[in-house]
Amino acid sequence: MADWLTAEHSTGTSLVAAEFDGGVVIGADSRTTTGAYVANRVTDKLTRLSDQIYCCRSGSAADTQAIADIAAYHLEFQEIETGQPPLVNVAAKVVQDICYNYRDQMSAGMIIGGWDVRKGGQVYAIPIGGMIVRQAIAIGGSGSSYIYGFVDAQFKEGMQKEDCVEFVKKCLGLAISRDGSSGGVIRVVLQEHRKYPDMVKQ
Amino acid sequence: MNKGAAEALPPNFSWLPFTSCPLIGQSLEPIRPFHLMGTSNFEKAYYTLELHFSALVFREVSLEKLISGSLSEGAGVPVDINTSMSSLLVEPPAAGFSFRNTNRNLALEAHGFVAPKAVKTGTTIAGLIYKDGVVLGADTRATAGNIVADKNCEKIHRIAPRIYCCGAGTAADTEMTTRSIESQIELLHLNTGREIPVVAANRLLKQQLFRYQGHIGAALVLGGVDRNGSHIYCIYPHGSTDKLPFATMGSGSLAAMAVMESRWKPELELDDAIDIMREAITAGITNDLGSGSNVDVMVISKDEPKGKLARPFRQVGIRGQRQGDYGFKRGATAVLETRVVPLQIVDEQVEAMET
Repeated sequence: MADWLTAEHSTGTSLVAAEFDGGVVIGADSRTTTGAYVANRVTDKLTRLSDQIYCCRSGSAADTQAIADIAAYHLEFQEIETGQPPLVNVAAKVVQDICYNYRDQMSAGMIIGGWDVRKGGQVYAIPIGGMIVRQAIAIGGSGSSYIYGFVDAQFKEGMQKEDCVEFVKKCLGLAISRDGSSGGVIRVVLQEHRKYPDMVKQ
Repeated sequence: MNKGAAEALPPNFSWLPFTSCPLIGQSLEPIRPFHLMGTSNFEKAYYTLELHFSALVFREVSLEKLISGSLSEGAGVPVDINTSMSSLLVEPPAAGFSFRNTNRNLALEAHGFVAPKAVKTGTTIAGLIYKDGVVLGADTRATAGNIVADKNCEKIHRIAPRIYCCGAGTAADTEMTTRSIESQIELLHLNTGREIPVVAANRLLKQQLFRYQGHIGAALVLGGVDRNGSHIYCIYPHGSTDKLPFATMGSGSLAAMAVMESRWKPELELDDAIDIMREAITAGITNDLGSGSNVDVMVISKDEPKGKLARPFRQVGIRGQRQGDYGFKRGATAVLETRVVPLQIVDEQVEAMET
């Protein structure tokens, strides 16, 4: 059988997540590749962990989906036990624990973005290896290499919501245009002080 | 495991399972040839595989002998599994996959032993959503290397009355995985008294495949209808899944996807949906060597209690009727001479048979 069929699926990806004044914006492209074949051109890499916390997945599709499913399970369990929506830093820690403990067997680069009452909008980057770090802006996936300079030059902390959405879209557009493993459409999730997020597909 | 095996291993040896086919590592039961009769084709492949390996499983072949090449065919001490067990108590076989022969197989392979191949379905399978439900499609060719192992195999497996699953990859793995999930879904249905949604089947399948880290070589297109609507899922051997309005899988997936991409649109009528599915699978059958024979089509409608299977839905590449008679007429060749030579009996002996 052809190699591209048996090879593991990976999300050669472009991910961007940014904090703004009062929330977070996370975005991703929609391409899933197996070698040179586009296995899915309308993938949703922005996965729900709880109502107010989403994650961006890059690396092996199977590994990151499993991590997201397990993390979502833990957070839902915790929500039932405590009667409170889970905190973003707790969600990030749950994901990081899995990523770190299975670092030799898994290939997963995750970015967690969400809003909670304690610290407002937060972005946590969990690169391959299981490190965790809070950043005002985090980029990830193969496409991120092309936009480090742009992000460093253009990103400002405490932007307005609309400017932040435009910035994330601009970043992803640039990444997609240079990275062959990224493409399709740009998906964006906006989290702010509301019960449910807006899911904007463009 | 033979003690010599560990010593014979190269220093940089890594302990990875040998193959996605669990059957190779699992031959404790005595093999009875009459199992071949009256079983499905899948089981035929299953037992053929075991028979191939029985020489190694049943004879405690010394690994060193096999590796050094000093082993002649049929050598080794035959061991009767039933008498060689020290206990008289019959132990039930352990549940799940057995990887007990994995390392032995690896060591053998490292020294040039060619293991029999598992039957793989070089396949075209597809699924699409139409106005009132889903349509699933599959070709019917099963291959083992270059050989067509089965010209009319079933690749559309039942999970629930309104959930079906097309399988590509290792035939044994797709069959056993879908059967196992079928029974889990049925138990869930019996316990809850509810119709089980397609997401549940997707979860069970992806978690089973993820647990085995890609060693279960099953690539699936799961489709069905439930109270939430119509759903198609693509499930890959490593356990990742995609939820899509239309999907193709297998070696013929590119040909089938070309048809899907050019013709699929939302809210298709049933006739158009079946037509697209027929053309997609036919594209796989005609353009991919791993796919062939007939098109099977399954329609699951939200208005029907059960999915309906058309098998064969279409036969591809049937021989046409011969237009004329191309044989030579009697007497077309002139007879120049006729000669009859009587048989000469050199010696004749009659012996009585032992009865």
